[in-house]
Amino acid sequence: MNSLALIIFAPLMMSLVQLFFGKRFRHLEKFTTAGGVGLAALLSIRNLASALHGHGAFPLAFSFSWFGFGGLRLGFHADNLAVPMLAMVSFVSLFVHIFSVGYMHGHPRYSRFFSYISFFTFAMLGLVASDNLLFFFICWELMGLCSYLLIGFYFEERTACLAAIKAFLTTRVGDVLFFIGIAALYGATGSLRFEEIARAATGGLIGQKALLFASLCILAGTIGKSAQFPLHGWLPDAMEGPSPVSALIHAATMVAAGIFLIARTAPFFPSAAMYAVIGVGSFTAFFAATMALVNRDFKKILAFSTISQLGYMLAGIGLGATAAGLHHLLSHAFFKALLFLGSGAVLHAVHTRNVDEMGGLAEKMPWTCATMYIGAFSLAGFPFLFSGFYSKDEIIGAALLFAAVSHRHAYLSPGILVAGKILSFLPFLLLLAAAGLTAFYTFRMMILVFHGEPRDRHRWEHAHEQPPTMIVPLVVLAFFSTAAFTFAFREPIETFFGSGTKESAVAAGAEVAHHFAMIASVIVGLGGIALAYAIYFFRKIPADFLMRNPQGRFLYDLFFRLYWTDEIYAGIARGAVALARRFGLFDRRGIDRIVDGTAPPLVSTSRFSGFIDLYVVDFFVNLTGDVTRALGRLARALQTGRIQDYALGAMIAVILLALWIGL
Amino acid sequence: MIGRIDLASIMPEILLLFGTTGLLLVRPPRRAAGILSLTTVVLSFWATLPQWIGTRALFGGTYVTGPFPAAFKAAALLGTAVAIVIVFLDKRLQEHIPEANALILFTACGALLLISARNFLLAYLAFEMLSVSSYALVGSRPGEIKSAEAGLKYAVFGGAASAFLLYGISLLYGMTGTLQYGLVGPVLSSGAGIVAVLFVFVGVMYKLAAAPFHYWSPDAFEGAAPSIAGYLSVVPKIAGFAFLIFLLDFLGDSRAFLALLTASAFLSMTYGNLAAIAQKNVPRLLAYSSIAHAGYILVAAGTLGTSGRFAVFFYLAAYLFMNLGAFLVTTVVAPTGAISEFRALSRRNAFLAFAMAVFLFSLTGLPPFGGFVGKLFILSAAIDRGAWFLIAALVVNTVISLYYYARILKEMYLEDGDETPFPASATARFCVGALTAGVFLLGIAWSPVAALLQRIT
Repeated sequence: MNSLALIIFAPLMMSLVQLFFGKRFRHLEKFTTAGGVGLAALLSIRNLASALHGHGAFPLAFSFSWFGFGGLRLGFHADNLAVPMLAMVSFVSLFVHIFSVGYMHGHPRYSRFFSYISFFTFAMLGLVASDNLLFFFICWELMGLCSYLLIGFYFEERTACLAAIKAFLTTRVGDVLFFIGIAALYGATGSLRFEEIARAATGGLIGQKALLFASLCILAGTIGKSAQFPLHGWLPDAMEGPSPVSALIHAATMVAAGIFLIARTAPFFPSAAMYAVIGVGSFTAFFAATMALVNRDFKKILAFSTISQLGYMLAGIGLGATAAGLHHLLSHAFFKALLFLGSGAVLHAVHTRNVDEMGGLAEKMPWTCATMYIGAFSLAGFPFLFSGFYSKDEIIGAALLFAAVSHRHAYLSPGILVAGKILSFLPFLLLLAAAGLTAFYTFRMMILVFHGEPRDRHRWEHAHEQPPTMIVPLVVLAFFSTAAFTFAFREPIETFFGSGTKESAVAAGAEVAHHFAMIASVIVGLGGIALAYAIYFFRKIPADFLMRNPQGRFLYDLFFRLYWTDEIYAGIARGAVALARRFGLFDRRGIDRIVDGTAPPLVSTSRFSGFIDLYVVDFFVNLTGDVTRALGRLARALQTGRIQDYALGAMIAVILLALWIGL
Repeated sequence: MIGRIDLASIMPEILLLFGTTGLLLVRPPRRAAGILSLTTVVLSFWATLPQWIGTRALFGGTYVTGPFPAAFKAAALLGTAVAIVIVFLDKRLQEHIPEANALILFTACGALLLISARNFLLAYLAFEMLSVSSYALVGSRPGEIKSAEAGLKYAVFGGAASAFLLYGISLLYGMTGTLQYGLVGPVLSSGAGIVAVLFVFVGVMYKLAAAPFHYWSPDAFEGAAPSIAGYLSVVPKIAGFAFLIFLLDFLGDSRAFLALLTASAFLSMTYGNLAAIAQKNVPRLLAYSSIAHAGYILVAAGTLGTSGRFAVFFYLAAYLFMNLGAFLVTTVVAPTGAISEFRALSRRNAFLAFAMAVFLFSLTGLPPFGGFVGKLFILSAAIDRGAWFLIAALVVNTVISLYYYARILKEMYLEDGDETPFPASATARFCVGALTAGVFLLGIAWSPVAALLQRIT
């Protein structure tokens, strides 16, 4: 037991206190959970600092044994991966707490809200520090539960309920596969600890096919939790939840848990599984960015952008640049939390999520606007001054490096080599294109919200700046979205996560690739921003230029209707139902005839068994109940209250016992 | 051979006797009496600390100290300390705090002696010391006919049981000419030896309130003040199980004794739980539940071996917190003991209702509370031993027990009733909080306790 235990369990304790006694402390409720999370933040930042001052490796661990089955020990350890994550999670959570004090003010389930997000924080911290798959999975599911509860927090509204159910069921698909993967690993290695599984895998103790199977199952878990293609549909709908929840759970932490899972398990992923990771990640990064281009819902734009950025992180880890992927995870957590909280501040002021009804809010909400600009620059990868630029750049550089050295992976026949070479450039191109799209949609969103003529006068007039409890978190998070974050943390991140490239031979190549990637992404990013300004701010290019021709129209529809994925899934569901009906028809026409023939004898048999059921089975079932009650009555009857009877009872007992032992 | 008189080793008992005498002579006012008794217990606890290191036999081997007995003593003294606080809070004993405390300290002294005794004569004397002061405690509710009746019944029944024990002991003495525990082993399988074993067994089971020698306990618990009932359900039981454990060092070879233990374990669990279903008085309900718990612990004791001893002690430790906690809340909330007094407690005093729920869940054996972990240890010891019949009985009984514990929960949380706030004194809140914390601690962070115990058992 040490500070790690306190970091993990303080939020849990406070959450439970809040849940059970929240109403008692009417005026303290905002302090209890924030206090627990604040303590966790303080301690984890202290841990981070002492880990930095000490040596690179800083394993802070405690473990306890639970149920003595199969030598299972549940442990926590704050290793290189976990220490910065713990600090980030508790820190962001703390500021989301503070923001929520103002945002949720006056809500009837105010204290329950804090209890939920504090409980969520516990689950996320536990997951990050868990050293084994079992506890990891438990926390994973607890977060799923919290996510469900919080998406549906406004359960008076039907859309919120439906979104909560959708999120729960969609992620469940991944969770089940993830659990199968865990079972497969346990079956193959007899252990659930990451360390031991990795040792067994690298030592060749697990068959390659089993390992590939397990790895793909784990990837499926990540796809569900991190809303990657094809299980991405729940995240935009999850925006029905309160904005601070979107900031904490659906941007900064829970969805990042899937990425963290891959970072944890990557050491034993076979290379084929790594290709799948790259494929899913880079495709989703591009795919989600296109959907954000035309959306009109403030929070959904941010949701698509989150999916896209998570794709970046996944691709980064798949490309072997774990440090880059996690660096992006950390910097993204800050600027995306900032953007979501900012969007929350705006919604609080105008009571709509539709960007068509906003506009011109900059003068009404200067602080929100200024801080959100910092977040937007960071998300768009504006060069040099903002944290997002550096972390995204590393991933794009890694993708280019991957393409450049891909001949090393070309174990395929020479005929396919050329095709493989082209294919290996695909992640780089997708990620680079996505960077351009990101810059464009981010500034499209910012301009539509904050500049131009107010499109809804009434809402604009009622808009107002938010109280300090909501502005201060924005300012703090904005600070961490600038390059200050990068300069403070780049070195630790490299020490902690290991440098992006493992082989020194390619280090020189890495340098070149990174410089090239940086130039390319600066051009693309600035281009995207410039285009957004040209269209929406200066109106040099008409906004509906896409609609002018049928192909453009088609593209617009494609993006706006989210590639019809919701319809496709609904279609699949309908197809399944129709197929079931068809089978049913066949059943009735074909098989039933045969079955019907067997009916008369069956009916008489079932009459008989019904009789047995009624008079024999039920008799015994009722008998158990009756006997229990009768025994209870008997037991009571024995206790007559007369001492003579007691003494007699004891004497009879002695005699019976003497008989029992065979005297 | 008479050993060197080693006063330091029996200092805990001496201190308790001093405390008793002091209380009776001075008869201080209520608060001072409480503080004086608590101080005595703390000093006595402090005096047991040296016993954690090394095993020592005193007075010709009749009295043995060591880490395992010291653990039992620590538990007994902790229970005594809590009981003193509960008695202090009991509205119906206000006028008689010094006497009640004196009797409690005297009982505790008997418990400590019984834990360390390794000689039948000393054990018998300690046993009587424990019993006689218990009779007085049960009858100590002033001016209540029910209390006096309960005390008298308890005394009569106890007298009969103690006669059995004494007869068993004298048979053993007659056959072997010695009263040392270990030296009577060879004669146990003879006919007279089996009779002696049976009689000793009766005495022990009476002290544990295990079926079929439990008759006294429901009446005694209902008649006594709830605070006293809580004390009697815990501390004498700890001493009784210590007595049993050390007897088993040599009686474990006797097949008859083990058969008796199995029978008693099964009967206690089943009888206790079934009878509890119909109860409407909370102390009486808890009395039956404590018969059932004695049955659970007997399952562990019957498995012998270190894992069994460990399970016995761990369960007793958890039981100490949860049972005293339940009695404490009952004392504060329902002085008459009627279940209806718990109605709507969650709205009247959410903290007490929550704590009571924790105690009841723990008594049922649900995670993450101490009772669950204790039950897990008992089951694991029984599985090692292959006692499948008792395991099945224990599991079925656990399910039954949920039914009557849940009735109190229902009363507290679901029933509508008078919702005027029910304030509890700071002492009560502190004590309830500490016991709740203990139950949680043993249910979540039990590994250090387990590690310590595994070293000494």
